[in-house]
Amino acid sequence: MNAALLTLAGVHTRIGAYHILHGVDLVVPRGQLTMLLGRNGAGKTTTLRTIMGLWRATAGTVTFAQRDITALGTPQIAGLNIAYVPETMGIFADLTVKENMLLAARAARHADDIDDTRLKWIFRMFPAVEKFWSYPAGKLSGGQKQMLAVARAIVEPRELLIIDEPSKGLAPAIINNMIDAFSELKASGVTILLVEQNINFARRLGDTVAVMDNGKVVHNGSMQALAEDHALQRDLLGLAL
Amino acid sequence: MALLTTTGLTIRFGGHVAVNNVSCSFQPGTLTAIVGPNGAGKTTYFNLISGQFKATSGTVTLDGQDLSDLPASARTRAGLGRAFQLTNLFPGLSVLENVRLAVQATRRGAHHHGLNLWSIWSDHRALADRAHEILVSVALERQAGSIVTSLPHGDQRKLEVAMLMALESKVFMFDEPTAGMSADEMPAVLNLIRQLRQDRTRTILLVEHKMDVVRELADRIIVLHNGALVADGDPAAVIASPLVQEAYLGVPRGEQAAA
Repeated sequence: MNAALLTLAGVHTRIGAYHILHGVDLVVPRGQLTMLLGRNGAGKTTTLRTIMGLWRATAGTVTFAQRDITALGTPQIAGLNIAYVPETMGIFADLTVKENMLLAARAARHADDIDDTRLKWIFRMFPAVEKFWSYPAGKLSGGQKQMLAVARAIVEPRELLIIDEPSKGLAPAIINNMIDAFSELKASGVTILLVEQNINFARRLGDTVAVMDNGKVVHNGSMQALAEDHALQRDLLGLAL
Repeated sequence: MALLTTTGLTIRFGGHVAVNNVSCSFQPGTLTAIVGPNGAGKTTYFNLISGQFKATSGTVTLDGQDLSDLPASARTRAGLGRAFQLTNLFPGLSVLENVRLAVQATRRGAHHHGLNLWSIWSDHRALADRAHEILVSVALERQAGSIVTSLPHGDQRKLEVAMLMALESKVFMFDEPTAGMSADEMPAVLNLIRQLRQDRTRTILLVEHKMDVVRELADRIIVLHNGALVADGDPAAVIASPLVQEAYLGVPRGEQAAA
């Protein structure tokens, strides 16, 4: 059994007057791809933001690689070799695609310093990133911005990759490319945590699954077991796959 | 006769031609799906039709009326309905109030009778009744009193449809209506689009990446690629075409099903 790379224990998060997370217990096993599923408003995005320190946990602990990161600031958490793609993508619209990529490549000062093999791998997956390399990122379409956001997160090897809805707004061919790429990343030892609404995407990639409802994790198990159990799907997700 | 026609519609951003000479007609009461790779120009084409962007060249005609020089607001009044995410809603008002305001916008003269209290009251009643009727038809009547910002994602989408119905739009444009929606919310929104299509009283344009949805709902598919219209026709034939299989669905040449 794989040891946990990331663990949330009894995490509560309040945003203003709202109590969003009500004691989240979540284990992300090392080297696996974990899917975080659940209805809109269940607390998935808030969980990711709390892991990254963008919301502060008001109770409970977040542990990454045996280290308590609950009280760390976002830059320190990112500095622990964690990549995060928020739902809002966070593209710098006035910078070029290249500059957006360069900002994410910490080891590189110039585009030439970015690992060429890795960059070519990204270009194969997301042709738009190569095609619009010197264009302002603000000119990209919604789906192309999503590609750039994911490309930035994987421009260098990271230990943990956290993405909020990777497939949102993407054409089927690109989703297929992404599924292949995540499989390759996983094979190279990267741990991945995804929030995803596209159930087919989740089923094809997920090793483990956590389902949230009302600010809590209400189900934990293997993706395969959930994919085969229609009654459980209906119960947890309100719909059979 | 076509309800909506774009002729040679083109927009350039600097050196980049985002929509390139797209001529296309849409028959009344049909649902046309618009598919294509990311960045093909689908949303920009919508923006040119609804008037958010001004075309570099080409025309947009609705019901024989040339709308090309009109701003977005005038095109909305003429009958072009674009479903946006929240931006055309009043977030702090209730669901019913939003729809009532949209009904009111289409009825010139309502609340313009001066200080006749009876007519103010009866107008108000008529508007509210119509708004309620619309909410029933999109299955949102139970949320009539809810504030818009408190609605789940799926209900916000239903409300957008209600707003277009209230505005008496002839053309309904949906840009990825199910994106970011959880699996349990999707059926209600798809049902609503299915129902609108069955009524055959509106002309629907749908940008959607989920091919099972497209396959089921579309009367016709058009394909945009690098800003140009590259395929147009019967859904099964368009989906089976090598261009769509390869450039859009990413199926390698050897694995494509015979058309």
